[in-house]
Amino acid sequence: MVTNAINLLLICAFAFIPLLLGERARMRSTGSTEDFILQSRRLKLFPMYATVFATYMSAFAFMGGIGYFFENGPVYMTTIGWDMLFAVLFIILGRRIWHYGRRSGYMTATDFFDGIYSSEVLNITVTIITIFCTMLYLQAQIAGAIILIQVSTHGMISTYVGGIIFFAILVIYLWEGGLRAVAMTDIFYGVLIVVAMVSTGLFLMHTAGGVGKVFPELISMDPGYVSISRETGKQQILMWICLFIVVPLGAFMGPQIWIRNYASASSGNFTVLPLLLGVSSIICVGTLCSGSASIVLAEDKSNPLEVILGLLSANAHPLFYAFVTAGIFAAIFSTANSQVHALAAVYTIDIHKRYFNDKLPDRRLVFLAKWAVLFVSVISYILMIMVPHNLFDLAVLGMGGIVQLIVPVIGAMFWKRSSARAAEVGILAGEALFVGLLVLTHMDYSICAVAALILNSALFGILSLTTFPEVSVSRRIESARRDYQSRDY
Amino acid sequence: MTKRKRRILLAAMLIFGFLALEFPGILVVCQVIRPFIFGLPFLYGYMLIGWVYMCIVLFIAYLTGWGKYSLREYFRSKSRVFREK
Repeated sequence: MVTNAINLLLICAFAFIPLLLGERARMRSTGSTEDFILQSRRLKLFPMYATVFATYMSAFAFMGGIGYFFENGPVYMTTIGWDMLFAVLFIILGRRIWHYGRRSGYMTATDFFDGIYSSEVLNITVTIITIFCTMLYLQAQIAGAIILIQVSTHGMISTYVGGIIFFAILVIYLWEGGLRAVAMTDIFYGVLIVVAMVSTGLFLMHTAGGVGKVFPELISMDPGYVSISRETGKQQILMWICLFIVVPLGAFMGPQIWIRNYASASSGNFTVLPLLLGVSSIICVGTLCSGSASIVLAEDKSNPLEVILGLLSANAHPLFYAFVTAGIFAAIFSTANSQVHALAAVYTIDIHKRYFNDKLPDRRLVFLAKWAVLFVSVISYILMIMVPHNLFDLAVLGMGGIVQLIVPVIGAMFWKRSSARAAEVGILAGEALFVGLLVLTHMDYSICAVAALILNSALFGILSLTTFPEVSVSRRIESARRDYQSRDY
Repeated sequence: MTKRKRRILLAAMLIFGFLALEFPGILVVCQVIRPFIFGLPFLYGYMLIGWVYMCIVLFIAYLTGWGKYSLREYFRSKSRVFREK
């Protein structure tokens, strides 16, 4: 009873701080659409780092990662490679996206595609993929939140009530401050995530007897827990490589990261960001320790996602348990808030402004974006109740779908022969193959996504080379590229 | 060294890191358990060494503005700022 009371108190405190930060963000807001969606393109280095890091570190990285140690042994450790690739993408693609956005006033991914390829079919395709895949990834966060609410409150708060509390907090501070509120709360969430992930790993490792005891015991239980075994080797190595491609590229193509790239205050942010994100990736050691120690400590391994909370509940001080619960909530909230905000931006700019009313005054557009936040949250809540979830699968599924956008994005930045027709066919064929493989085979989602990406790239390349060059597209690509190179970043 | 060559060198160092951490590096180390590195099984220790290497490369990239300046130019400008202070 005391534990539950402490948990509830901490959850209340945890809910109050973002609301406070949301209010501060509202006071600084200028009330324009650009301010609500892109913080007037004045996102400074530290808030940018915090919001990118916290958005990237989701329920997938915390609970999903620990569960992955149970099911696939060391495959999750490819995370060091994918985190590094995600970091490096900011200098390769991110700075260009920022430059193109500033030059032409882009606010979403579809704006970029429209600006370069100018194809209505491509615009619609990109918008649909963006919305659908981001909704999937958002469901992964909600799935994590449901498990957490149920286990941490021992059923005192039901899924339905927990979901309402979850979205109510999120909608209030997003409504108040847009991206500024997201960035401010992400600083708070980011600190919580790092401390909670690392301290959980150290605590569980200490409880299990330390590294000197845990790893020899794991090896005696099954060497497959610390190495890739011969029996399942081929599949696991393939997953190791495919996750390295799908996760960072998929995360980078998410609308929330496009928005952060556009919102940067200067090109200098992109010089430092890869280093900061690269160094931060060391927190996966927390997941490694938690996952490994949990395998040794847990008696019932049937539900890996709940194991860690059960172990903490049994072994840790109630305050520490409550603190870790808040840390996991932070990982979930920091990603979910960015996704809801990004989806609201996509609806406002890419759907309402583009197709329904392009003459809407700026103030009305901001109001619409705020209502879109509420609308997206309601849809997610309904899906949360109706659709069963698997945390890791949902996240990889979402990323596997959206990663197909990377091919025409690279084409638009580096290859003047790129054509809109090739981009359309490549993306649609890639998505069709991805869905087909998911339905017809039992391959891991990440492997299906990479197979689709290969087909997409091949079709894009072949069609761009073999069809008649699209002169206007080539001109736009060259003009934007020359402008970027002339700045000598 | 020209800016272009510095950028190529940085890219090569990053690609080397990715090759070692991912493919084909993983094929070499995936089944190795011993020796333990930092008290961790070989694969985990290897990944941590890879992390250190990548952080050093990213740090050099940051100092040189991703190849825009040489390290010598960076340290020269720093010592000038220090002397002026």
